[in-house]
Amino acid sequence: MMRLALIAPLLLTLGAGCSAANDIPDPAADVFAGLDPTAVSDVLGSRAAHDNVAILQADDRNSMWQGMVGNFSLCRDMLATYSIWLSTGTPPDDLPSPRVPMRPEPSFPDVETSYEFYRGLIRSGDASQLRAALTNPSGCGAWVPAEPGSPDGPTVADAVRSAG
Amino acid sequence: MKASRLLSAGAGALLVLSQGFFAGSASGATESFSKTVSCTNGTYTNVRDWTQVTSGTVSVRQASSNPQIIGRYHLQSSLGNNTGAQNIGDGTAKSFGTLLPATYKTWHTAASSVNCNGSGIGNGNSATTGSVTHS
Repeated sequence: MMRLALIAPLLLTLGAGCSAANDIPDPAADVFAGLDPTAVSDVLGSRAAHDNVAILQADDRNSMWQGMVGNFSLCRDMLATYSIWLSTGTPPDDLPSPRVPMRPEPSFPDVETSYEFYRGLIRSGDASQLRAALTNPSGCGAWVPAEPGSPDGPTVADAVRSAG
Repeated sequence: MKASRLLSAGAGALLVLSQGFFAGSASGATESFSKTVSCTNGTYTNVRDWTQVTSGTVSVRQASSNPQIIGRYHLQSSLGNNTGAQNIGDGTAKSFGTLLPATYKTWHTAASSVNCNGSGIGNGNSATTGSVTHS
């Protein structure tokens, strides 16, 4: 009886700290602080995003959630750049840069690296390089919806193909 | 005391390097893996972490599995980008196309559930080896 009394609070504590496979962070969670709230909402509403997290160990999940939000912003920033480039004939002077989270997870350096990679494609002056990256079947364009708040709408890659 | 701390830190660094975690992968680099994986389809094991430092093609080879199973592999970036999944049997390799720079996990699941466990409970596991090559 005495043992049970000692173990019960421990089990309750462990249970409260455990992350279920389908555990969804709150949009106001620290992991999203400093990031675009629309991208946060879109990631949390994305079935593909949940699939990405489902196979990860609990310790890796926050990093993936934050990385995907950065990825949604990146992909849409680059689509906007591509659209301006197509319509004006020259890339914009101001190249996109990442929003910096208040508490960067291990995935954040990859967000920075990705922005730098894409900025390099823009600096090349060859729009076809940016187009190829945004339509890469293993890149962000393949699954990130082009329009915020439209999870089932055209992807960034679809939008790039339509734009020409 | 200081020396032992240094030794300990050095050993830790070597362990990380030997496992290839977050080591940059240049063109032509090959990184091997040796993991116990599930024989149940739908149970995923990350067999290798690696970093793609520049845009390039990546292939995965399954060298051996014991008990023998066909692996279904896909690559997942830390930002949630994924390749398609491909079945790879022992002694064969498949290309996953051009990947953009990021840190990746190499996910394995059994292509179909196989009893690797005889009369034991569940399907059991398989000892699988292979490699990831960047070109």
